[in-house]
Parts: sequence; structure tokens; C-alpha cells
Amino acid sequence: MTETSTVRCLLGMLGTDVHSKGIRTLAQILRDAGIEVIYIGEHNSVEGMANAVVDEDPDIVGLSFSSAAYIDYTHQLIAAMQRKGVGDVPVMLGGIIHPDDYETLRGIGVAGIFGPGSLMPDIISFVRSKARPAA
Amino acid sequence: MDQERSKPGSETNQLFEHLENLEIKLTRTKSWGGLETKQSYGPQDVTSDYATNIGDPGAYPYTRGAYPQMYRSRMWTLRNIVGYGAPEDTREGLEKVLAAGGSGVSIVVDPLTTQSIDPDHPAFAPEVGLEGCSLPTSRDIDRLLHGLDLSKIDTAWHWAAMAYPMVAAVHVKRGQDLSTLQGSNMPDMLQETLCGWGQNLIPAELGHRTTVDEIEFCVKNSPRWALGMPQAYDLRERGLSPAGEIAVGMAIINKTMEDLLARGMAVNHVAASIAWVSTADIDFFEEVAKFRALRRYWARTMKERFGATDPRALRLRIACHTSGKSLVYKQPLNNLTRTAIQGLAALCGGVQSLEACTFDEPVCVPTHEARDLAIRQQQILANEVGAARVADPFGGSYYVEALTDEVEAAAVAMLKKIEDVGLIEAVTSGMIERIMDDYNLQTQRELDAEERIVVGVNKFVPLEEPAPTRFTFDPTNTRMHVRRFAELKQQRDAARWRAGLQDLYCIARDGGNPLQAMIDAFIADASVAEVWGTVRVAHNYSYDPYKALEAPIKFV
Repeated sequence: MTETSTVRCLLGMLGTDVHSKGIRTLAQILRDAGIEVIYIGEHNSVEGMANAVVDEDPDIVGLSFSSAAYIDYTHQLIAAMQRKGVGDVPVMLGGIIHPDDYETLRGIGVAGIFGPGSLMPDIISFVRSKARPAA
Repeated sequence: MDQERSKPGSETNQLFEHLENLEIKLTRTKSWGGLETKQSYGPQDVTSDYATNIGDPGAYPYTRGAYPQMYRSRMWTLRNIVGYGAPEDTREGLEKVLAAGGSGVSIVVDPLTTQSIDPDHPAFAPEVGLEGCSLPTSRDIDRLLHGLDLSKIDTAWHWAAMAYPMVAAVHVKRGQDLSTLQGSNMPDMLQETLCGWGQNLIPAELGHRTTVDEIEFCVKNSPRWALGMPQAYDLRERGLSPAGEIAVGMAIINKTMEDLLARGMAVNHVAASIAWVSTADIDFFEEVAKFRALRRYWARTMKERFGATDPRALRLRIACHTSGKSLVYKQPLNNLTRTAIQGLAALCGGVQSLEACTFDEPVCVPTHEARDLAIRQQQILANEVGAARVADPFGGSYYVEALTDEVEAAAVAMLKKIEDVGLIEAVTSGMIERIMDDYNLQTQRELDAEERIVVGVNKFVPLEEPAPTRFTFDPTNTRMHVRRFAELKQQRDAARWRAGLQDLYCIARDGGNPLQAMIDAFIADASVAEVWGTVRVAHNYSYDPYKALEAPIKFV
């Protein structure tokens, strides 16, 4: 990894969740930190988001949930990403994530969990750590 | 390091360093919403003329309250929201609230139902009933409310336009007249476009038109049904200051009123049916000032801009739900402190109904214990604190009067910017969303810089604590409910159902008010997705906003 490599971070939401305040703020803060953010918006289907991962070739995918359906949706997304050959792209989760679910989420392959009380600098350094070496 | 630690007295030193970190220092002199404040206020700061700009409680411009005796003549309605799983589950929760002393029935539906998506939609199975009650048909509403006479019991729906025609369908099916229907919903659809739903789910023009249709129909046919307009609660939660709440909310009210007057409605009738849906965030004084400024600005607008003369149109009623976003996940019991202060602000601000968030709001759907405590909190405010005793207890406070003027001035400035562009354009162009995104970004930067401090978020964070208890419920009823829904679609009177949707399509396509046709379609067992999808198709939008489903009939 070199200092100059830019990280590409794809952010979006799954399902009917309308609580977009957090992820929209995060998108701007990551951009201000020099990270390239592709914000694909709210209300994506699992297939649609997995396709976006294929098309956009990000270094990391970030999801935000205010809905308790996050385990099912994240599981479905990671499975769809694997089917489409982009299962190696790390996935991070933010929002109302309950500590009792951390182990389950890690078990299905979630790389980073930023539940309530997470600090922006921690999210920024985690995203930066996923930069691929410049080709 | 080890040597360091073994020095005598070092532990004490560390303890004192720790103490220094715990000292409370004032980091901020601005209000929570961003208005600068002075070190103190005096008589010179109160520039409003009492008779013309403040007035007694119950007198124009209603700054000091909508009614002369306020809570002495009528206590606020103590509400507690309920909604999870199948209708049978939510019914059980409702009965618990009423048994604990709640005086209103307040129902939250799941995100699928609020978005007019049926529980059999292929993409969203994990979400059915998860964050509210799943109510796809009028039969489900009947199940939830069996034995409750809708002409006597006031039901409040945290739900936009579809709540009214569905509840009305139940009432009519029970052989009662629309004119006797009581209750309230929140028909503000533009708010939804702005608060995360976006143009795909609620196209601004169609959403606004539906709001206007519903208000017109309700005011004419169900005058005892109250309309929660604007739904400013969600706008605030999405990212507005108290002044911003008044600005965007009044922009929505003004546009809606203009369109209703153009249809021949009278401002005195329309405004009297409306109650403002508000919030109370954590800045006690700013929220009190906001409620006062809001009532004053409403009264002025109704009188001077729209020519209202009836006191019922000039005096604004306010429904308040304390701010969910202000609550903190860590050490959630601290949220009881927050909601107590927010509730007190709402009462000192003179609201007509109050719902306190439960302390576990940031964690999950409320547990029964948390809901019980939220009701007890209001009973403490009512009976012990003296919050209900005297109307507008802060009237005449140098600070609160000055802040009332400042909140109003900031609101008027923002409202002008929006109306210069035009509300619909300000929504569709993303201008209002940008205002809200900027507000949130500013707030986050202040948190990161520790200029704004939230206990348990960026300061005074407990290191280790057990995971909070979360609400769980048995999904058996939800599964049965989804199966029952599929069976209804097979068993309903297909000819009547088809005719209902076809009529609705024609009326909506030809620009008529589709509300009666919606009610008829719900009586004919059409589902919420079918009814809203038909209106969408009639206006040339996809039947399913998520574009996974086709319309169930071919419209002609």
C-alpha cells in the first residue's frame, strides 16, 4: 500500500429502511478525508447492490441499518457477492447493530462492525486500511 | 512504564488526571439548533409588544397557548406508540398500554405497510412486522381494533395517506357513517420524499397531490378525523433545527393550503382539522421557544396570508413525540433523563398530546418495561412536577421571549429561501435535502471537535457495559399472518376486487379525488400495495416502486 493510493468505498442501504441520515453524513466525512465514495443510495435490492459491487469495483462496501433485519440482508448480500465473484471485497456494517449479533455477523464474513457510539476517525482508518496496493 | 507505575503516589496522580477529565466545562454557548446566546437576558431583550405579539393564553396570536386554561380545561393526551408483528401481536401490546394508564391508542405500522408494500413482496420478507405492525388489508385493521368503536375511541396512526382510507373502510364495513369516524393520521407525503423515501417511492408531485386529496376528502366527510400536518417530526429527525422545523413545515402548510383554497375549500375548515406533528429535542429552552414561535407564526399566517377568522383555525394544536435521534445507545437508562426534560419542554410549550420515546428507543422496538416507564414518566410530570398547572409558565422570561423571537426570525428567513424557489422545486431539486445534509454534517463536525458534547457519545462514554436488553417476540403470528394474506388474495370476490381497482384507476387517471374509490377498493379486499400501486400506474409511475412486481390487473 502506498500513501497515494485512493480507497474506493461503496456505500448504500438495503431493504425499505429510510434512516439515511447517518450514511449520508458518513459519505461526506469520508470524502472530506480523501476517500472516493460511491453512494448508491437507499432502498437497494440485494441483487442490485451486488451488481453495483461488480460494476464499481470498490475496495470496501459499507452498509447502514436502522432496521433489525440486518443479519438476513447482510447474509444475502455476501452470498450474492460470492456468486458474482466479488466475495473478496470486505463488507462493513454501521447503524443500530446489537452486540449480541457481532459474532454471527463475523461468522457470515462481515469485516468491520461500527455500531452505536462508533467514532468517525475509527471508521476512516478502517476504510483506509482496505486500500489495495496501487497497480 | 512499569517503573513509572511503581513510583509512590502515581496512582493518586492518575486519579486526579482522571478527575480533571470529568470536570464539566461549558464548550458551547450556541443553542442545540445553532442560535448564539448571550450570557444573560434582560428587559431590553424583550422587544415584542405584549398585546399584539404575545397575548394571553387562548388569545391571538396564541404565542402563550391554544386555550385560555390550557391543561386545567383539558389534560394532554398521554400516548404511547405500539406496533410489532401481526395485528394480533400489536393488539396485545395495545391492551398493555391501556392497562398501564395510556389515554390514547397510537399505532406504528411496519415500514413495508407505510410504503404500501405487501408482506408477500419477493424482496422484503425479513422485514414483515419487524419494526411495526403489518397491516396490508382493512381486514387486518379490523383484527387489530376489534371491539373498539371508531366513533368513540380516538386512534392515532403513525402512517401517511393510506391510513385514513383503510380505517375508513373498516368503519363503513361495520355499518357506520364516515362523518362519525374519529382518529388521526399524518397525510404529509412530501415529508416522506424528503426523509429518506426519495422520488422513487414518493414522487413529489403525486405525493403532494395525494395529501391535498386526502385533506379535502377528510375535511368534507370526516370532520372529526384530525390531520397531522406537517409531519415535522421526521423532518427534524432527518436534520433540521427548531427554526428549520417551522420553516420547512410552514412551506408544506402554505403550499397545501393554497392548493386546497384553489379547490374551493375554506381556510377556516381546513386549518381547524390540522394538528402540527412536532418533536422535542434536548435543548429545553429552545424547544419551549419553538412551540411558542410556531403557534404565533401559524396564527399570523392563517390570518394575514389566508384570511382565516375562526379561532379554531388560528390556534394551532400540536402533537409532540420526543426526539428519538437525541437518545443514546450507551447506558440507555440515561435516556429517561433526556425524555423527562424533553417531555417537560413540550408541556411548558403547550402541546395537546405527548408521546415520550422509551429509553430503549436507540436499541430496539420498545420492551414492555420501557413502555411502562414512559407512561409513568408522564404521570410524574402531570401529578408531581406541576407541569400542567399554569399555562405558558415561561411567558415573560427575558430569555425565552427573546429566543422565541429569534427562532421565529430564523424560521422566516429559511422559509423565504424555500418559497422563493417554490416548494415542489425545492424538494425535487434536492435543495431541502442539502440543507438537511449540511445541518447533519455540521452537527457531526461539532461532535468530532467536542464543541458539542453528548454524554455517552463523544464524552463520558462508559468503557464496558453489558449489551442492552432488546425486544423480541414470537414470529409465529407473523408467519400465520403472511399465509392468511396469501389466502385472502385467493378467496376474495375477484369481480368486485377487480372493479374496485379499475374504478380507482379511472378516477385517478382523470384527475379526480380518488379517496372514495380507495375506500371502496379496501372494502373489496384490495391490499395496500394494490391500491397505492393503482394510483401510481394511473399517474404513469411503475406499479411497484421497487420494480419487482407488475400490476395484478390490466387497467383499461
